[in-house]
Amino acid sequence: MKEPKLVSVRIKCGRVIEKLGDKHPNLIHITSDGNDYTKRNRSRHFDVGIAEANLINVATGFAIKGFPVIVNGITSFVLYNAYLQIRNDLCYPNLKVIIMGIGSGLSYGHLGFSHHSPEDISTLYTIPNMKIYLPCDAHEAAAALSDALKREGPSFVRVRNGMEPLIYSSKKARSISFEEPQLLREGKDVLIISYGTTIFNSLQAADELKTKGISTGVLNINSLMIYDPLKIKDYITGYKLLIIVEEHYVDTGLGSIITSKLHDYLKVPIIKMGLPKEFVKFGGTATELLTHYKLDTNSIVKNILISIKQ
Amino acid sequence: MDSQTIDLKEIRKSILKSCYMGGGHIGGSLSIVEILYVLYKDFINNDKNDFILSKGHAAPGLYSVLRFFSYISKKEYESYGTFGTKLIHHPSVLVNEVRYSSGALGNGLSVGVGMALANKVLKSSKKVFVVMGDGELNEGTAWEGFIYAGSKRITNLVAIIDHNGLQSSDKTNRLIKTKYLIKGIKSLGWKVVSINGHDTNAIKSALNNKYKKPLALVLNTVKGKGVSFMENDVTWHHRKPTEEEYNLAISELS
Repeated sequence: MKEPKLVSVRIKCGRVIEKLGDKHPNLIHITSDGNDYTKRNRSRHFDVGIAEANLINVATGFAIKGFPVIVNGITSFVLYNAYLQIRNDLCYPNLKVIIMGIGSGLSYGHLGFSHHSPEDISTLYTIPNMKIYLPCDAHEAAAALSDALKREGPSFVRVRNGMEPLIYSSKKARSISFEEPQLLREGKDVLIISYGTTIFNSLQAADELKTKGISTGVLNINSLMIYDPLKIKDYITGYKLLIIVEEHYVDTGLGSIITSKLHDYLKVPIIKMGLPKEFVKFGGTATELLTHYKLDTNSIVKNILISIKQ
Repeated sequence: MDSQTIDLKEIRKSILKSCYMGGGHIGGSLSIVEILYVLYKDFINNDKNDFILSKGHAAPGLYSVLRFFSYISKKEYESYGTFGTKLIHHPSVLVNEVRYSSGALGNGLSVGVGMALANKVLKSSKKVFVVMGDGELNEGTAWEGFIYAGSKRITNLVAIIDHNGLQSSDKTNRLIKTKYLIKGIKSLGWKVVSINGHDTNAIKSALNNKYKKPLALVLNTVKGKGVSFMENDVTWHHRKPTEEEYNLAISELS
């Protein structure tokens, strides 16, 4: 795989929110002491300060009045401080408020456990009506925001912090429906199922495994709660080994959700790679932490080589 | 007896009947009859302004007033407490007239902030009236609403506090000193006006005045107002009257 372009997902999303604000004259954007990178449509932008419950409640007020809303915040604070507001205000009445959560997973690295969200998917999956978008790069995140605006009800877009390698061209990203998994790489022997930041590692791993004679596919599952996960069964047939890689607690993440749903259709070994259910008790950059938890390219390759021999 | 006094007694009798048949938070419903009556009669009537019952447990009070002004049908009103009813013990958006499903205290005010800001974006002169409990002021999230609206001078938002002095377990003052909380609201940039919460003229007057800051109307009320043995009694927060208690209460209101 050639050296990919690195793009800040956050800044790209800021631009996208600006454009969406131009396109939708009733779109409201609310931040929580945010550097939101949007400059236009300021009359429809509000900042509530460091107050996540207020963020969701104020968004609710707008949504009750018929305005679609995008809110920005740090994932661990918006979801865990304002879980009650998300559940009661947004999900129960199914209001169109899109939560763009920044710093998801372990992407805040050295900032520590208070800023990490290795359990965001499982937290939100427990609430009816909450759609979850899992973009792997800036272009997919932009598509996710656009898509969420077209659908009724609340959504969460899982964004990290910092630069991410571009996987999709902007043209290709615009055609993503979020109503089915996306096969990013074809393969015959092994299928890596992933989303978000580990898509890049999975693609690199597939490249390396090819040189070792193992034909490896990569499937991007970029959403939850938009379509019946049973649909995924059509995408996982014919492989000798399935492996799920995610930046989330392995016990409660996308891997555990889909394997339980696809239980009756799993004919081959399936390995789940993710984070152990523990708080990160030391510092490290996002990349160092992912390597420590064996979610880097080398670890994926090693794991597949060991598993395919068995 | 003037027609208004008759109306208020009718509403109180309805609340008692609902709670006798279907249970509910009776004390805190009785304390807000006057404010709900004035609001729905003169300020909200048919969408003139917006309303949120942030102290959602006073749903029986709200439903009785909505029934009185024919926002809900007799059939729907009488379904309260029965299986399948949309009139659950905290108001839900399942009911047409209800804009926000309250129940978890402390959140209605900042939802009101959002609605008030939305009204400004819509260039509408509509106000948002939010009725809160005094126990509700224990909740930190309530203060996020006070902080933001006070700081941004959101004057089309009106916070109305049912200061009946009691919450579920005890007198509000015994748990957390209410006078500090009221002072707190003032110091956050609100105009605090404190009146007799059962005086409909005083309520109307306060709500019709113009203020430079957002208004926090503190209603000094009596929990369980209208029924002598329920007044100021913490055990009537959430309690079903017996047949004897119900009959006694109705006779007092007739």
